[in-house]
Amino acid sequence: MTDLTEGNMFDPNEGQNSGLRRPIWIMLAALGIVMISGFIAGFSVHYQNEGGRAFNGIAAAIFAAAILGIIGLGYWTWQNAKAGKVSGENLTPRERRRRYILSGCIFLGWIMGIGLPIMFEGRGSAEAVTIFSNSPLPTNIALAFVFVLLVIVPAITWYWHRYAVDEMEESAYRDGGYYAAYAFLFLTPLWWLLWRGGLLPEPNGVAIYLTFSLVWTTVWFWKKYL
Amino acid sequence: MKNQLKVLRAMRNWSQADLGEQLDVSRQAVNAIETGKYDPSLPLAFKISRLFDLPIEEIFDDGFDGGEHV
Repeated sequence: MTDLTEGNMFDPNEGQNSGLRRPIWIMLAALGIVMISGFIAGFSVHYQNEGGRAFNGIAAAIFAAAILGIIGLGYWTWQNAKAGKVSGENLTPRERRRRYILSGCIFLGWIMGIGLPIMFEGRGSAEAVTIFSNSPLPTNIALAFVFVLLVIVPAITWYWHRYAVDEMEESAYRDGGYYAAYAFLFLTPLWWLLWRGGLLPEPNGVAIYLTFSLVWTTVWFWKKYL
Repeated sequence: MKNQLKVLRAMRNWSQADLGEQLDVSRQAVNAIETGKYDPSLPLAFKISRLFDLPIEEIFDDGFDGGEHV
């Protein structure tokens, strides 16, 4: 049990969920680290392909700024995580598991962000792995993605729902699913009709997928935290 | 649904994390139940009832005033 006094009887997030701000900033900082890492990897591969000839002072400055950005965000994240622990931000076992899984997924995303541009070196454009691309992929890379989506992601998802998510969050997921399903059912034919009427460009599968995911995630966040 | 969870927890000097750990839910879930934003499932309500050794209806108030059923 927590050693409670009158001053800390209730948790910092009680009532207004004020304890929510720190984890959100930590998640955004982690996302920033992943994105800057991907940028550094792509940047390095680009200059390697050119034999290092165009790597001038400006390029070196951009490279150094990106490295400093990662170090800064990493330090800031570490300090905030430490501050959260010191201020008595106790976690229940499910929350602890959730944090481990999220950290693992961010690390995996970081590895992929760095690894993909390197894997693509000399094998076509790294643009092919960006989300809106329809460019051909090397077969082994396509199969690697399929393996991640068919084996790794479902396994993590199963563990996530079984051991990290509680019934309140399950309910938030369900609500998000309803909203997302209705958005899909209404908006997809709407776009298709507007395209046929010459008012919008051709429906794009990735845009629909992202909209579905965004609606689901937004409702989940609203139901769980707000 | 109105409930006495916050009062019962305070009487035992438990934090939301303490109660969440005993119920195997997150602090957000405890907070949402206490503020009436989320109604627990029947199994969780029974778990809460057993934990505080009180009948469910002494912890949760569904607003039923005892009027006649049709």
